Amino acid sequence: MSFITRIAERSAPARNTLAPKGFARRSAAPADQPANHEEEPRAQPLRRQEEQEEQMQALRRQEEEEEMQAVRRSSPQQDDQMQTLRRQAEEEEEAAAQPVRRQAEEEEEALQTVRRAEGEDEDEERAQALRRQEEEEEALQTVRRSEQADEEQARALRRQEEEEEEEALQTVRRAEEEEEAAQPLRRDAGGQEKDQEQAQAQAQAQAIRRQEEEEDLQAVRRMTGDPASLDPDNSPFPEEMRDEPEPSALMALRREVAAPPAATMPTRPFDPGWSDGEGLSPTAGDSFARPSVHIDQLDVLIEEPSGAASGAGAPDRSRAIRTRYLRRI
Amino acid sequence: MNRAPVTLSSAFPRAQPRALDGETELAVAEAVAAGTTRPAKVTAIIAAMYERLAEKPVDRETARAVSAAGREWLLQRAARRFHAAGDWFETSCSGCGARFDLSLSIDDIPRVAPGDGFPVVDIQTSLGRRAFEVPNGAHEEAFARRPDADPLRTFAALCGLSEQAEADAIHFDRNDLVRIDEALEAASPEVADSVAALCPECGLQARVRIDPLTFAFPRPEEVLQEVHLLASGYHWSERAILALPVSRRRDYARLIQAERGAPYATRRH
Repeated sequence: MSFITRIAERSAPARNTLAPKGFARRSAAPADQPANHEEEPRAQPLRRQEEQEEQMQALRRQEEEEEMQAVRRSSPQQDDQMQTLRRQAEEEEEAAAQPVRRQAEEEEEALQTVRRAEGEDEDEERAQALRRQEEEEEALQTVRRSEQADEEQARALRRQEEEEEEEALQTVRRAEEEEEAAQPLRRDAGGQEKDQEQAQAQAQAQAIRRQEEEEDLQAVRRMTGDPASLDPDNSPFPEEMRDEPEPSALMALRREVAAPPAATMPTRPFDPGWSDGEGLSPTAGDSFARPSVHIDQLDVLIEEPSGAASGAGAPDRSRAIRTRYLRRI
Repeated sequence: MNRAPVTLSSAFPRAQPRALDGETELAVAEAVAAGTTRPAKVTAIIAAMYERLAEKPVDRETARAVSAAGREWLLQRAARRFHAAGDWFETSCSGCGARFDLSLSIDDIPRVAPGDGFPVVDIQTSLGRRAFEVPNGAHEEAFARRPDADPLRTFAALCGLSEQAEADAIHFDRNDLVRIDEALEAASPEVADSVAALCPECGLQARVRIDPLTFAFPRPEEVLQEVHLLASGYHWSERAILALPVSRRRDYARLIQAERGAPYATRRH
């Protein structure tokens, strides 16, 4: 092959070329290259023909362009005419296209307006739904809050009732205990009449006590408006205490709790009986009597400092009231 | 009165390559993908890839002035910057169609230094003494536009330095054309652009072209894909992205792809 032929061949697209291993299968060959090795051999002549045609077309285009340039160079007037005609044609096309374009723009604007309106409606609906949801949640929370308040109130009431019941029960229990403690005494006293008298006396004393307490309470209630008036030293001296002597600095009060029992003391001191075989036997039966203890006197010693806070000659009213109260007890 | 030769006096000119950034890569990719002739593509690639040739700034005219062999050598060197893959190639037998592999190093492609008088030869023809310059890129491009023409006569017309070179080419006889061809071959540098391969299947020895245009250079869509990735990821301008070195642009593209959870399509270069 001659030198010029080789150069000419190099200028043409390669027929049979090398490709990196795997490259032909991975990517397509460039547009003007025939190097698709996986192509069927039958297709190669066709492809070559196509390539030649493409090349010819490219050349033709180039030649036409060159010719056009030559023509343009040789006949500037013709070129001007061509340009004028081209411009005229463009203007006509532009004029024809403008109404169509305007119509299309108007339609697009209308569509956009509709879309915007739809979008706003959707937003409004979404906002309303959210608002509704929030309102429902608030209502639910209010209901829950009121239920909680009711529940707390009910719990407080229940607690109060329970406390009151507990207090009542305690009172009853205390009364029963007192009653139980008093019953042997009463039984030992042996006289039903005395019991009745004692009960009557107790009832009277309780009634008097209740009345006095009530009076005191009323007085206190009257004076609750002025806390200072609660101080006995500030209050007027009661009329009924006018003749009572001033209590001494140390005074013992003696009170007879109950009438002294008439039962005779056991002849023998209490003996369980199992120490020496004498005394009460477990089988003594009716002859067994429970030993009892009688408290016939209760001494109460109340010690309190003399009224240093009060004036020298002024009566110590609070002390006098307390003394009177204790004297009654 | 002869015209002055255009062919560059340096057969394999000292070449200063451009920095391999996006602009260069895209220019090369677009040159390869352009619907032009092969010599025109080679001219565009050389102009894009090299800053200076034989101490002269490079433009398309400079690229055209390089001898045909010098251009092919510059093309192979440019291909080496993109095609860093191994040296195993494959081809198919033109006789039996069987595919087979062969090993070849583009760096070691042999070349021949130019002969005496390069780039001009002086020949005694039937029409008298005539001077010719060694074929260059411009001659290749011109010939590629006339593929049906007789190569010997066409090159005689193109390379002739005489004022009536075109007329002479018409009147040269066959002996003149052969003599011109031999004289030009003797003076021209040469670089191998093909290998003789023996088919392992049928034993046919065939000549296989080494054309870097078919495998070495990137495609525009590959470059633009990375530009698109960086532009959408970092909102940089096209100019800024293309000003990046190719390797860095590729790294950024890989990072963006990794962040998006998509595997990065490995480039062939």
